[in-house]
Amino acid sequence: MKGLVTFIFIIISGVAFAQAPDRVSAQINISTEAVQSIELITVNSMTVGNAQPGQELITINPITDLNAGFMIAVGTPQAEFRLDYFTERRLTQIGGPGFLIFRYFLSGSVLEEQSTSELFNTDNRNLRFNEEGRFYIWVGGEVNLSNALPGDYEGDFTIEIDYI
Amino acid sequence: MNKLLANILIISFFCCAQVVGQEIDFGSYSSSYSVTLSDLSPSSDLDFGTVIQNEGVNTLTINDAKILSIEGVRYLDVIVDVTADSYLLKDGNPTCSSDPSCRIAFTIQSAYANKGQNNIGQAIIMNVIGQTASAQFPVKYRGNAPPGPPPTPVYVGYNPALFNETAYVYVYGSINVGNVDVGSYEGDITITVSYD
Repeated sequence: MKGLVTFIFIIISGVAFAQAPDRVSAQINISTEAVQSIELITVNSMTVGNAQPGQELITINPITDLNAGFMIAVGTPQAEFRLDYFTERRLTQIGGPGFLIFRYFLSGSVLEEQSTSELFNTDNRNLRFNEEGRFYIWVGGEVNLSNALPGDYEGDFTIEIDYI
Repeated sequence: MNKLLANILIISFFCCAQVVGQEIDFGSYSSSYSVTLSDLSPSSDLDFGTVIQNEGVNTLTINDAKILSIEGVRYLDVIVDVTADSYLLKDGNPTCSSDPSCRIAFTIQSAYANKGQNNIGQAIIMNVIGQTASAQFPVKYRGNAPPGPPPTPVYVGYNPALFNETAYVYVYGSINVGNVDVGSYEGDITITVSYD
């Protein structure tokens, strides 16, 4: 009779403590790369100066001309970035109806030396900050004055820099 | 002696009736059935890419989610817990967990789709408490229909593919980038799945 009691308890225990359900798990990594915000510092504005009588084209070479604008981009050292800008901008006559189309030429270098800079085109705008997190940009361009009305003109220039 | 035995039996049955209750818990037998959890793109992280110091909130939506599949018996409910680290730590360094300059807060979000298709249009958002998103759902959606039949017992020649279905889990979320040091940040999300 003692054996019967033991048998019943085994059965009941089996129901009350059924096997734990299967549990499966997986792991996902989360990642991100934090970089320094980019600053763009204008050191010198571009100076076009006065056109001479009969002069139809003014050109400022960003690699050689001292009148080129000079900017410094500051960001995360060695980080890659992309530079974009409109190659043509409209300059409007101050107090008059005239306008001019200005074509921008930009060059850049990791060295703070204008003559080492390379002209940007559509193929080489993926760039990299130097070890100090700096990249140097010179701004030049050309404007055709053949149909221009006498007067002063103004316009702006937009350059965008984003990390890649 | 016979009277003593009768008393023991009565006490025993009362005891066990309270444990089992009124619920028919098919999950009690689910150890006989397998469930698998697979990352559909195991080589990739939940990657927020490049973020800028002080950028603020940067969100990966369900469109950018990591997707995992759950394959199991379609009649059965699964319990899914998606638990994430509260912070991504610079280079994974644990000492950064208490240093705001080298940690980025992370908020978990998750959803599931159990209509047999990997379709975010059918996804249902999971409840989130703390850093854990949880849900319980049948592997195969049954709508307003009553629960299906008990699982087919495992038998000789049992082919689980005949009774299995696949559900999908979407894992995503957002980070809040403050004034942190530049560098690589990382954290973990653990997904666990079990039958009810």
